[in-house]
Amino acid sequence: MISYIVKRILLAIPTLLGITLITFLLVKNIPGDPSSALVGERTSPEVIERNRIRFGLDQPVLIQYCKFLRNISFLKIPTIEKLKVGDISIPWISIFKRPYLGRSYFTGQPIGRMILDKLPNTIRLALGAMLIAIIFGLALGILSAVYPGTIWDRLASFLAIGGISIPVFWAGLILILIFSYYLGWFPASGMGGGALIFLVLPAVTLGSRSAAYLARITRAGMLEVSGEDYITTARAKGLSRNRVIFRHVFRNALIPIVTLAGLDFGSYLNGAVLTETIFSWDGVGRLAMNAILQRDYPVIIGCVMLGAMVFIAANIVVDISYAFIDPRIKFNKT
Amino acid sequence: MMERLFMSPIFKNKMAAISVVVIAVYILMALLAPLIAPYDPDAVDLDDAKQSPGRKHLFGTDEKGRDIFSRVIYGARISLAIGVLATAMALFIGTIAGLVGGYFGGKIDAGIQMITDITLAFPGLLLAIGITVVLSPGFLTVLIALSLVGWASMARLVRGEVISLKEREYVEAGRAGGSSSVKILFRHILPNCIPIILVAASLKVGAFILAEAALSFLDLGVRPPTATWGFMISAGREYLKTAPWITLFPGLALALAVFSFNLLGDAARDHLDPKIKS
Repeated sequence: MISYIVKRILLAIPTLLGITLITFLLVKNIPGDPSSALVGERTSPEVIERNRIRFGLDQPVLIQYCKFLRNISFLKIPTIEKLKVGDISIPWISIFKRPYLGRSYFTGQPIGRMILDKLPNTIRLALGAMLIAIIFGLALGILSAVYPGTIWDRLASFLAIGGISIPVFWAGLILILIFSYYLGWFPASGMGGGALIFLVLPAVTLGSRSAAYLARITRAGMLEVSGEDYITTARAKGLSRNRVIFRHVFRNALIPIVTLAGLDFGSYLNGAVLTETIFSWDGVGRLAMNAILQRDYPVIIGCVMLGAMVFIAANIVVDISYAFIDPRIKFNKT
Repeated sequence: MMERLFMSPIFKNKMAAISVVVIAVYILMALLAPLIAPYDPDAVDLDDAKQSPGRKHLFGTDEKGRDIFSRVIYGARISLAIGVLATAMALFIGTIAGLVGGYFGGKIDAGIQMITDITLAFPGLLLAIGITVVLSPGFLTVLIALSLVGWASMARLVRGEVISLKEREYVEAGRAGGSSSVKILFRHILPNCIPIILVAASLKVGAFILAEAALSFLDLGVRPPTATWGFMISAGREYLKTAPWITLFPGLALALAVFSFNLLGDAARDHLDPKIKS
């Protein structure tokens, strides 16, 4: 089990490196010089030059990339350090360090800190969205799989395709229009110092798409399983309908459902960029959007890499969780 | 193969038939925009700003007094053009990568797969935003950004299909008969991949139309004053309370278009993969 997890993480390293390289190259090629963006176009060339040197922008690209990699890494060249426990000092080899993502060109704050400050808000939004996606997605999916071909099935399919087709940002605006301007049930924007009522509209906006996907996968998975012999056996044994549906059909349809729920969680940062912009939600998505508008390179890098890492982590967690749901999958057979 | 796809029970499926009609209407609307639109889509008339929908302006006017109905019609041009062209480009890159990787295997496959994995690991919209910022916004940029982000899932799909196809007898027979790899790939394997490629493509058009709108919404799409649905929605944000129609109608047009493409792709998939059919 542990060796499987380690192997899975090692396999992610080339992907991570590729991501850092692409991100770095993209950001390097963004038109316009951040140092002139920072101090204004009319500043004297000396000041601009000083800023370029300060940010290391005057060095060759390859060196900039290596420095960048060294900065963001968790690992360092091993050094022997001494750990003091009471009066005795124990020598040990330290290989970990705190990653340094650089500072914002605009506020001068360290990026790690900026992202960590906003991250809890985005996680709260993502958890809310996931809750909504799971409740509505599973309910719709199960409903249409249990009554295939009926009006319920049609309605559920219709809603599911609708959920995938409606643009997130438009749905958010329409929700604001109806539930906050016309009905006055929920606030239109902001976070209200953490009040749950502020979370409702953004979470529905961000979660509706996943709900639609989940509903489709649940339906398809359950219908596929329904045809298996062991389900017929379970029915023939005289098990109650609900027991067959939830214990036998649903449980065996769970793998694609878990995959999708997991992978979707990994991609919430995408939707968060739009959702957080619309609802003035103070999270990483909005941070990324503002950074892009201001050409704040290090912040963009930080946000994109965070998104990619969350996505890769979600993949690994999904793979590992397979084995818990389905004992047929063995860890050593990857 | 094509006949099986098009002359088949999909068209007995009422929803799919309706979606084909709706898509046809959109295409006509885009092609004949100058004939259908009652007003010049870019004609500013500040005296006529924020008029609610009525007889003179079917969908009302926006904050600059432009006729929203006309702008929605013209917006279809950008959305459809980008949706279709980006799909074609992503399809082209993805199919070639998938065919080559899946057929030859080994190091080539490993290399292609690594690039695919890296592309898929990015948050797609953020990557598209990044590319757009680098290339500076515009029609071509949006096209390039979307196809660079979208090809990877195509490649993965085609690769899987190729791997399952290349062990079939008729491919063996071709190989035994001395056909070149290129001939086997394009004569025997590619034609059998076409059904899944078409299904994926019709779902992709919808996804790309949505992505284009998202970029336009963030003001990273085709430059205003060219009418795009995404930018119209974003422009209406400020007037959501007083003039909701500015946001409402382009969004409806967008959602209906994407909905139709998804419905069609869905019906095609159900048809090709009877296991999922109820």
